Amino acid sequence: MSAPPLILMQGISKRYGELWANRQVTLAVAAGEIHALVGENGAGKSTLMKILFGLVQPDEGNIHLDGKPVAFKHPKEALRAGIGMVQQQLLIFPQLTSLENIVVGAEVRRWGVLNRKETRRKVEALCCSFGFDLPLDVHADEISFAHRQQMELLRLLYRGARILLLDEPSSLLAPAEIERLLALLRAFRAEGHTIILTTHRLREVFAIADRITILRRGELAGTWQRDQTSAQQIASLLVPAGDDAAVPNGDGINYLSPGRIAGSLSENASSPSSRPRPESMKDQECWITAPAADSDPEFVDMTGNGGEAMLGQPSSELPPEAPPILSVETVTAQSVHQEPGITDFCLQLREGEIFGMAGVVGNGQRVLALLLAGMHRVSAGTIRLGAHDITNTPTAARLEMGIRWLPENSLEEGALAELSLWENLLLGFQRRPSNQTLGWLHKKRIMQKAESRLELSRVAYTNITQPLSDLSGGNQQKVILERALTEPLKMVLLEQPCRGLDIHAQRETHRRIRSLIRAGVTFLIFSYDLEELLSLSHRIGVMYRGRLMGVTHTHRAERELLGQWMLGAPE
Amino acid sequence: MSIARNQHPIIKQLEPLVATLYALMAGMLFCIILAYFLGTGSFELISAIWEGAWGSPNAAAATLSKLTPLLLTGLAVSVAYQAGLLNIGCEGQLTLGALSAACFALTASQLPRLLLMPLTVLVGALAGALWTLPAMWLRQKRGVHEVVSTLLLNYVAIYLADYLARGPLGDGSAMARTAEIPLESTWRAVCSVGTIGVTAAPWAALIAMCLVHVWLYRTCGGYEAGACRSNPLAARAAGIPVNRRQTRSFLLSGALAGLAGALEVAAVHHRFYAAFSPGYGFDGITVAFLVNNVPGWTWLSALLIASLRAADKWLQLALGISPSTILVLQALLLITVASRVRLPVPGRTRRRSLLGHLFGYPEQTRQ
Amino acid sequence: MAAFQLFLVTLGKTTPILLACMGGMISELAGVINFALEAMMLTGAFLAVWLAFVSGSPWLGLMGGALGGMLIGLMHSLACLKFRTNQIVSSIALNLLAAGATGVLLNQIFGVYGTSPSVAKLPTLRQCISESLPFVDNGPAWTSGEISILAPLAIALSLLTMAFFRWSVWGLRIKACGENPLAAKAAGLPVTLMRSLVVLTGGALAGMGGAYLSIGELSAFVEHMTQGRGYLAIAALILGRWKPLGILLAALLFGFSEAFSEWLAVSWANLPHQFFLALPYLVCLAVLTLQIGKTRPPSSLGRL
Repeated sequence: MSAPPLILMQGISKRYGELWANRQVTLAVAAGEIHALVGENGAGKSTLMKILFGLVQPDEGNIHLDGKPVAFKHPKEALRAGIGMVQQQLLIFPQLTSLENIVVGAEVRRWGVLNRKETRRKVEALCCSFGFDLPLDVHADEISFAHRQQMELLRLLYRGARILLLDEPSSLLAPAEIERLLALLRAFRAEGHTIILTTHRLREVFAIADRITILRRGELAGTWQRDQTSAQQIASLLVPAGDDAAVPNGDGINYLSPGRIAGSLSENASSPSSRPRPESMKDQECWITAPAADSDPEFVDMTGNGGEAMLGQPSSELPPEAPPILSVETVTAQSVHQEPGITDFCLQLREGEIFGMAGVVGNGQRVLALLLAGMHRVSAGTIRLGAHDITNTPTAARLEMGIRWLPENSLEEGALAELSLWENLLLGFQRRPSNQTLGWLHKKRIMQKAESRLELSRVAYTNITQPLSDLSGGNQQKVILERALTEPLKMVLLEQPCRGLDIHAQRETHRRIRSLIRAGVTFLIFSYDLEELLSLSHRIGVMYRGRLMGVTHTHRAERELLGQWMLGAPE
Repeated sequence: MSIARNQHPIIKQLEPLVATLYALMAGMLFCIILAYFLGTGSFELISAIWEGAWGSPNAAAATLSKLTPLLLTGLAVSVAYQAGLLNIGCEGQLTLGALSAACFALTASQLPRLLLMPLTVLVGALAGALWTLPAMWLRQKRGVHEVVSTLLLNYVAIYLADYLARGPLGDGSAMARTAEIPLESTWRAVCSVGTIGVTAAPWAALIAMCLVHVWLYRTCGGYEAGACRSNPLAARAAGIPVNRRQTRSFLLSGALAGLAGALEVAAVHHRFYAAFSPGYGFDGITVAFLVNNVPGWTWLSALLIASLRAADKWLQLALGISPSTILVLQALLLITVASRVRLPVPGRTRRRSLLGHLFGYPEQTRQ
Repeated sequence: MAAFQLFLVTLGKTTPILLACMGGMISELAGVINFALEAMMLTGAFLAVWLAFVSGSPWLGLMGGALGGMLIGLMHSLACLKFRTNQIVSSIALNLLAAGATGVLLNQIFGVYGTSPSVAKLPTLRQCISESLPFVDNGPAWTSGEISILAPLAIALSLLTMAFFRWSVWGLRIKACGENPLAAKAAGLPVTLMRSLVVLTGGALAGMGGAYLSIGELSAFVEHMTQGRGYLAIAALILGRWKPLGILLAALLFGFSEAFSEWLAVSWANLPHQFFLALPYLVCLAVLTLQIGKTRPPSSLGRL
């Protein structure tokens, strides 16, 4: 790198209260490269990009663009300098058309009058040259997630952005859609664009990145050329040394260590039988003798789940005699809130099972969860819990039967932010005879119980009457999870249980789930993260357009097949 | 790890009191500024307000008579607010409550007093409650925000009452009013302040306030209403029938506003006038928001607003300034206090309130 | 002839509602709830009279009306966008403030209660025509009715708004602010500034609506003279579904029912004219109940 870097961020620091989001981070990006920012959740990748884009102002540090110092106070200035960003949370104008969404703020105009024809021609030309297939005249809230992402990319390209910042662009896409995205990014690079992207999937990093920068807890761990490093090295750098020891080994499960990642990398994805199983020596050999990593190294998940999978399934195989607990029989349900419905859906879960439900975002997973939680009406078919028909049982009764639901954005959809901790734990159980007599709440008893539960789940709080929103985000999620695990438990629906949690909290959650299945609790876990499901569940199903494409045992799962299912390809 | 903020529960309990005191201080400040503009002394202005409200027994009686409807409408607004709804239709509910109470007392005049008196008031409350039903239906079935529908219903109620009082239910005079209700249905004075008799209506309102407060903070129903306000989705997922709970709270809210109207008829005017309310329904919003919508403290803000409202004529007599000064003062108080009220708007993070600035609550830490 | 007269009165009654409604529409399209139209109208009505009184020119009075509305708009945008007050509560407080402040100022400036001294009125359409076109002797037949010049101006402004949101870049950008302020910011739009300006402009429109009441229809300010027309404008806004053409039609309907109830009160005094006064609200409620077609308010209405 003898040429001066296109972007140079030096000594960037940003603090939120006690927490350093970035601390003395230095990043140099050369013109025309794809630069990957890698790090676990909360490592400060997004913050760094937001600082570059002018959405967040750094506390310290300076930024040079093309050798000239710049300080963007507003995204508009960054855009003018040719920097554009696609944030993880897509920013769309729901009631404007895609075309309007793309051009707003930078329209082709004369004396303030919008020239629709010319604008459209420009956008269509862009679509053609990069191979986008975006419908232009449809309201943005009616198009698919992948299209919305295309729309955002077009918005930047249309503005002539030469430097694209992409925050976790692949996290909600199906494998084939990811391939498409990567092809697009290569096309951008060929056109001379510079791309900085964050991702938590090493496979993508090694597929397209030219250089890799690692952030660790807000600090820089280093920058490497892609061909001068290996996935093993990157993975070992992601988690600071000594972290392993810090994690309690409650279940006797050993957590991620670099050596295991290395093993995972040498595994050949296309042959499921080679997926290492802890209990089988044969598999172990298979793993050791598997061909070395080829040019497209295997997906390594930074959260460490990949490593866990190695030592594997907590309770190993589900005992075959485990009785079925939940059966969904040819259930059909309407769509709701733009979430597609499900048709003729069949599913059977057994007691003590962890079932992972995979699929691209918006293929009916939400409706299925709502149905099972009793929040949505079944049009046809029956749902049974044990011997009971619960097709039309109201939510409150399901709670009493032991069905719990942790919604996707548990803080937005499950938290009573300005109410106190005990009130949050009480929600849903306020009518239990132990909590009330004739409508009169036994406040003292409830608060004592809540205190002991929070202590057990190690929530950091000072007073049981303080509002939930006073706690940190992680602790709030713990409280909501604690409520969702209120006894008696039979079956728990978890939507994206680990999204937004740091690695410790994720491990904690996984440990909790594994310890509960021994007591016969069944879990149905919805996740967009295939790796998480592969590491956690006994069986995996894939949903596509409201149907169950297929179900497979995790140890026999083939990623390619799952990927095909996710896009609706038949077996 | 965040540093959880250390706030003693008692401080939290007293927050409405602190808010009102703070509003009072702000009010004093506004008085000084207003007095400067009006060309009177600031002390004269403040003392004139005091004189007008509490200076003589008659003034005190007038203030007390305003206290009842203000307390009840304030309570109505806070009950709805505590279930996540904003009821700005108290004026209409109050008007119809008063009209129905008067009509009932006139038609059922042969009932014994023991039955007639409470029934009159209850019918008023019932009418007020029923008038909230269209708003709830529109909200739940058609997604129309209750602020819009209650606002529209206000006008429908006011014109309806005007028409009925002039026409079919009127007393035949040119004024828009009903005939006088039978003596058996009225509330008699239990004591007199100055030359004016004071009925038990303020006490009834205070009792209603205590009941609402206890219901809200000590019972399952109140807890469920609070959950509906805080996060309807979470409440629904917890098996709480959100729509039914909100309807219940809104019915209660309408009933309280209707009760305010009925008590005005039964205890003060003894008949229905088309324009008997000088905007009690709208003032209820100020009353509720001054104490952060905590029902138990509504008496304090109702007292404050009643004092201000009772003093407006006195300002004109004593200082020769417009009675509208009181409106300005009230508006300034509301906007000052409202600047620290946070409605639960999704996607917004908690901010430090104005109170927080004053008393130094640490800012929330983020992770 | 009676029908023609009714039409003119309808136009006259439509004008203030239409102006206020347009003011509300643009501010709500930008995502700011505007329940303070009543306050804007009242302040506009007062300042119009004051400026007309001081200057003697009703045209300066009209400007004063716009300024009055903008003053309230400024306070509303400060409260909502700077201090992040709840937008509905801020509006209610402002309505109260305007009702009080105009009363106080009426007393302070003119030394009277209730009604201000009378000031010069805005010219009627007929006066304008015979002034600018002296060769047209009495004006063509259709101008024979007396109607304030502000009425055709309001209709023209409404058409202008329609064109603005249909073709102009800024119309699109304003809508973007109301759809998703975060996305608008990321698209490089100065969201807060635009929202404040739009609320101010909306205030100017609503203030002109108020000025119509005081120096267009009457020639004096009367305390509480808006009589809930600001709220009526909100009803028209919902009925018109945040669309320029829709609110024009809604305002015409409301203007007609007001004119008709007045006519009814004169012609058949014993018929319930209150029904026609309540008609706008009833129609609005009915439409909300039936919900023909599907339109949503701006996606981020009331959110910062």
